[in-house]
Amino acid sequence: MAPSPSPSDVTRLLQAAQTGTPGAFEALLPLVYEELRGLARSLLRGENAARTLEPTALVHEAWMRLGAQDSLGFEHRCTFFAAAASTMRRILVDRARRRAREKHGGNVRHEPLDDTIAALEESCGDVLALEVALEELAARDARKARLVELRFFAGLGMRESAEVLAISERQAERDWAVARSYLRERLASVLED
Amino acid sequence: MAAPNDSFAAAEERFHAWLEAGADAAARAAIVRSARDEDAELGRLLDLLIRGYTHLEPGFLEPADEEGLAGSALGGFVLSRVLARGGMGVVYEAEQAAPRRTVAVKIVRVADGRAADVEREAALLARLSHPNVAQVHAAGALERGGRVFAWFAMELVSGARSITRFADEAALDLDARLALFLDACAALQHAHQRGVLHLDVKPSNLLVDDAGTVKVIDFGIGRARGADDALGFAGAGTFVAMAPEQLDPDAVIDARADVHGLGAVLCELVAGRPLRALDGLAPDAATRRVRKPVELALGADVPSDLAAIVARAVAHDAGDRYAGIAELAEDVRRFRACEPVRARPPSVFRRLALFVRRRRALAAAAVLVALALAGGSTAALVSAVRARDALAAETRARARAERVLALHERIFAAYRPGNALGREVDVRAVLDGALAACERELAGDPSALAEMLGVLAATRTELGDLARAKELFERALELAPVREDGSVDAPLRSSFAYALIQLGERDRARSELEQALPVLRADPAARAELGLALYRASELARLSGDAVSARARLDEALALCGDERTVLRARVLEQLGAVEYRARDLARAEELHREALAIGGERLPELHPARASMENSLAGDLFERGKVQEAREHWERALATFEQVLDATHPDLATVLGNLALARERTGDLDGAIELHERALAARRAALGEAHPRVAGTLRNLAMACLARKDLARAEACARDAIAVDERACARPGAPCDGADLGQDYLTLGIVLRERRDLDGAMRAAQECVRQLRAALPAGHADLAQPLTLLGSTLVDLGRAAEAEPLLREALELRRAKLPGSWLAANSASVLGGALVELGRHAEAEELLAPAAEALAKALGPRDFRVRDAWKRLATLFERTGRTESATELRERAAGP
Repeated sequence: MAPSPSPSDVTRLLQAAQTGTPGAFEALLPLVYEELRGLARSLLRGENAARTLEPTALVHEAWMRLGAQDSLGFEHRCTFFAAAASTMRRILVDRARRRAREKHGGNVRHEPLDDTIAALEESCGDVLALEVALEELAARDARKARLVELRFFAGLGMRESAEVLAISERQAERDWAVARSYLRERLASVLED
Repeated sequence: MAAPNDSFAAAEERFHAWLEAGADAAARAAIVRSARDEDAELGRLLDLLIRGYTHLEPGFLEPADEEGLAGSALGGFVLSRVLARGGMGVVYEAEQAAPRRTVAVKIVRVADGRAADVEREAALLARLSHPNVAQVHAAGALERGGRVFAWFAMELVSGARSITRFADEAALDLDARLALFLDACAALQHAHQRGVLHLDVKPSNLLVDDAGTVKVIDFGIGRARGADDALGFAGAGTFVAMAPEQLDPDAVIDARADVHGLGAVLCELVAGRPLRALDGLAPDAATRRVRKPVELALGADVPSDLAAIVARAVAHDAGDRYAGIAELAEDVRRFRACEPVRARPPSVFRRLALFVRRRRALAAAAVLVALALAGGSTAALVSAVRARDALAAETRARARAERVLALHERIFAAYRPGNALGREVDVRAVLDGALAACERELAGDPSALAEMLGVLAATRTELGDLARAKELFERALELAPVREDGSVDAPLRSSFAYALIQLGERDRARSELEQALPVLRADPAARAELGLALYRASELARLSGDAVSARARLDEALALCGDERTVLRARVLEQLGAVEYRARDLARAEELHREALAIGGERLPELHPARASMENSLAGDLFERGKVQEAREHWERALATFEQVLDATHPDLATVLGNLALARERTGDLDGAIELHERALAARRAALGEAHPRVAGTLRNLAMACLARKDLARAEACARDAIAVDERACARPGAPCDGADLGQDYLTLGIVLRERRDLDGAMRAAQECVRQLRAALPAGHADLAQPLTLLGSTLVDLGRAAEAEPLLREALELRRAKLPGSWLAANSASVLGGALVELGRHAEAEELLAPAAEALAKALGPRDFRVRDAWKRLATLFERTGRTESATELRERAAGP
């Protein structure tokens, strides 16, 4: 297992992504992944272990930690949340896929990380079904799918999501109504199949 | 980011329409069906969205209260539910027991070991107490799981909306928006005085509550001045409103960052769009945009002084901004009070304009003066700055501005309520006083005097005092400095052309515009002036019957407008409509005029003459399309405006009087019509003198109204007066009239004389008319058809059918070519048929008479005199060919009620 990244690595990459350095955003994702995982584990070890750990809370915790330690500005927050939302989504989807393979007799090594992520997954419902519907939505309108990612996987408020996507709050609300309605109906039929 | 695909975007649009219409689930089937008829995929997606929406469970996919703090107490505040959340923290609704109230509690994470800073920050925030600041009641630090949070209990803003959203929902006008903005300024100024910067000023932090009161929130994340990095959220703010230095960790952040934020809010409030267009940009691209200077484009409808205020507030370098909020607020206040703003260098005429506008009570017409003056000022400033030595010119312009301003302070001092001692001050008296003072005090500065005279002349034009306007323009042009390229002030020429058009001096107007246009085209700063000049050139072309060139000018002007719903666009559309009207595409004309009036209604005050002019144009289309009642209503409105703001002699007033008279005539109010024609005539005579074709045109209208009222003697006198007027007008060199006008006069006389049974006189008049028109109009012009028909039918009545036949045939062909299928063509056919009956060519006659009578009856109804005449002609044919029964029946029908 790789050593936990130092927050300054994340900071450095956030700054690089900010200035448009090619590949910086992609390089950021595994670090954010580690950040989230490390944070989840320390939380589970701590006094709040009994409490259900929610992915969105985790993302916020991670940001507050970074923000407080490195005095990161708002612009980094946007980049961070964009990265964290995608990462969180990927974490949950990967974990769900692995579990599905296990159920069908696949032989997959059990990773220690799963213990912490299992705690997250409980509060998310059927991640795989959502993933199918979300991919569909992304093909039709990428921005709306990103909004769902930010809201559902990073727990951002409407105003903050709008800021990250650089759209007006009103536009975000309109997008949100469409995305929810679309996913509600598609999710129902995916789950039926 | 990929754009949504087409069917999805279309479905989305209709989904929102359905939501906005009340999200009625019962309407789904019908809406989906109609969408499916257009496109199967669209129908499917729309169905899916509406179904999904009606099935939504509360909280589906929504973030939950993940902190699990609901129900817990913080310093006497019991948290109930999450109101909002974001990266900087969570906001809960909370209850306080004593005093009993509902508050908002904001919880933010702070750096470890900074708990003491929280207390200090809280103490600062608690010092803020202002009606426009959401009051912070209490604050504290909270430790949970080894992490430190700060919490702030603050006033809960009920019905909170962002300032921009509130302004849009309440449809506030500019002044009300600025009042709101000043309240926000007051709140921030209060904070600055107490050492608290906001640093995240943006519309969503400037809330407006249920009572319409501004409440500024989120001071919590601003750093206290001097308390460096107190909460670890330095540089927070949104990209749209953020000051560039907030991205620079080494920059000193001071009050001017909040000035920038306020400037961005002001931009959005007055221009309806954010300072920076960051829609759809990734965060990194957005920050790059923040680091670049903004190119302000507020749109033509934002007054230039206000645009200057925004530009100064959001200047890229903090050093170029207002030094503090007090200075920004003061300039906005000055703008509202129509005083010169500090954001702009002074310009003589702008300051004068403001001065006049401030004394709005003088007279309604003073508004027009102000508009004219404001229009002139831009040009004055531009030409000053363009001078060879820009710096010296600037100094000179400033010195001159000061001198002229002082001069005008003196001029207007006489009219201040205290000095006027209750005298009713007429705007013309003000203008006369201004002129005298300018001549006295600017004698040594011919170019300043020239500009001043030009402004006064433009004002006189607007007021309808055309003779004085012309005189002033000519003096201004004589004095105007000649530029390097040999041209003199192009906007001056363009305004002069407008006055000349009103005066009917088209050749001179054309020459002025031809000199002005190339200069304006070459000057990117003169877009508004160019638009106006093109508009004037198109009016000139239209009046000369050159539709092609009129359209070309208007298209060029329209291209300058872009998509913006500006006054210029409305005026250009109005003019385009006028071109279509003249080309007889009345449906298109109506459409264009409706659009023009819609924009004019949005952009112009109720009593603006340009808006009344649009009403007038639309009414013209409606009238011609038979919608007489609607036309009459528009004309009544236009007249009401013109009567209040224009001189009694203004040509536009006379035009509307004449038009409304026609509508009254058509709706049977003949006395009312004659009264208006008489007023129009008096106005034209006063404005244009006795020998002007428009005076003759009004006389013709009066003659026709008298004819309808069976006052035949007066009708004849008016028609003869019209001829006399045009004969004198045409005799003048460079005459604004030609044989076409004279031809119309003779036509009127012919119609009146025929009605008086003076067939010889009618014939001679009609012959003269045809002679004049053949000389003046191109061959095959449709206007020839009516006099030819009159002449032909009079000749038939005189027993000279053989002479009549070729004339009537020509009339018929003209009408068939220009107006196929119209009742006019049918009428010509019937008259020709009547002549053929007289010539004994019965078979030929019947071929024309029978279908013509049918078409006329269908178009005009059985009671119209032209229908009855057609039946009589057919009856004569039947009598001559032995079909007495049919003839009798037709005669009875023709004599019917």
